Amino acid sequence: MGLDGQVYDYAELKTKRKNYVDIETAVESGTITTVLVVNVTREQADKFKKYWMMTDKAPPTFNILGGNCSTRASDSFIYSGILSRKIPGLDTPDNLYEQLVDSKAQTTSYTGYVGFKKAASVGDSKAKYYIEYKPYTHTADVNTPNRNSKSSSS
Amino acid sequence: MSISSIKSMPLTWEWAAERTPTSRILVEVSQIRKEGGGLFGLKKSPSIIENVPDGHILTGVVVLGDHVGRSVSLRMPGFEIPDISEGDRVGLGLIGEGICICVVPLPAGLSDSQLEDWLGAFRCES
Repeated sequence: MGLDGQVYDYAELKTKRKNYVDIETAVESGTITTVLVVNVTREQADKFKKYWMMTDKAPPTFNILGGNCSTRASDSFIYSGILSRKIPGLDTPDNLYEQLVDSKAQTTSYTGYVGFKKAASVGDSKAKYYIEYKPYTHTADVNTPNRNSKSSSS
Repeated sequence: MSISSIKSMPLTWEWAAERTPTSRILVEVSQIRKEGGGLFGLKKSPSIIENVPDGHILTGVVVLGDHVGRSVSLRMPGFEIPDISEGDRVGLGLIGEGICICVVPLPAGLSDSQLEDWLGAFRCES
């Protein structure tokens, strides 16, 4: 199934997938998200951003198997040198999550209602965002991939 | 019956995100129904561009503004639908021809003479 691919930045997510970037909408819609923060070097971060800028200009075709959002995310981690090989097993968010947590990179996991706010910019500094987070506590293991991992959960 | 009243106008939902509508129409609601998940639930996958969370279909007929008499069909998140039911009139804030950024119920007690003023000015909350 080949469909047109699409890359959304923060502004586009606010119009098309607001429940993933605005915490109030996440709560209202019952959208539980897992965010994995990966500590990387400045060089890796710049290459990661470069990958997505290039992909935004010419998004590849979407295929549910082997050409989905996990595939592209994996490609971006490999391009930037954060990971060295493709996702073990099927290209799924959970498998990529496991791979990242098991990698050398330091990671922090958040599961619950999540939003992102743009921090006030100072001078010519790059746009920065901070996470707003409300843990989901209805059941202990809802949507918590890799809950037995060594990754810290804040 | 004109052609415009036969062919339904499909509208795509987007959140307002601080945008102001470029046009507004008043619609009488015909039906609100929950959208199915499609084959293997693919329509509900966030990976699909057309996906809207908690997808609902709101259909109705334009009663004031551009395209009066034309039926409209809007796919939108159920949790963004205000407390309305069939027969109610709502204002839709549009960007261009095909994007709807808000659904606003008609204020209670509004007279017919006040309708056009309200339709030209209601705000879309972000």
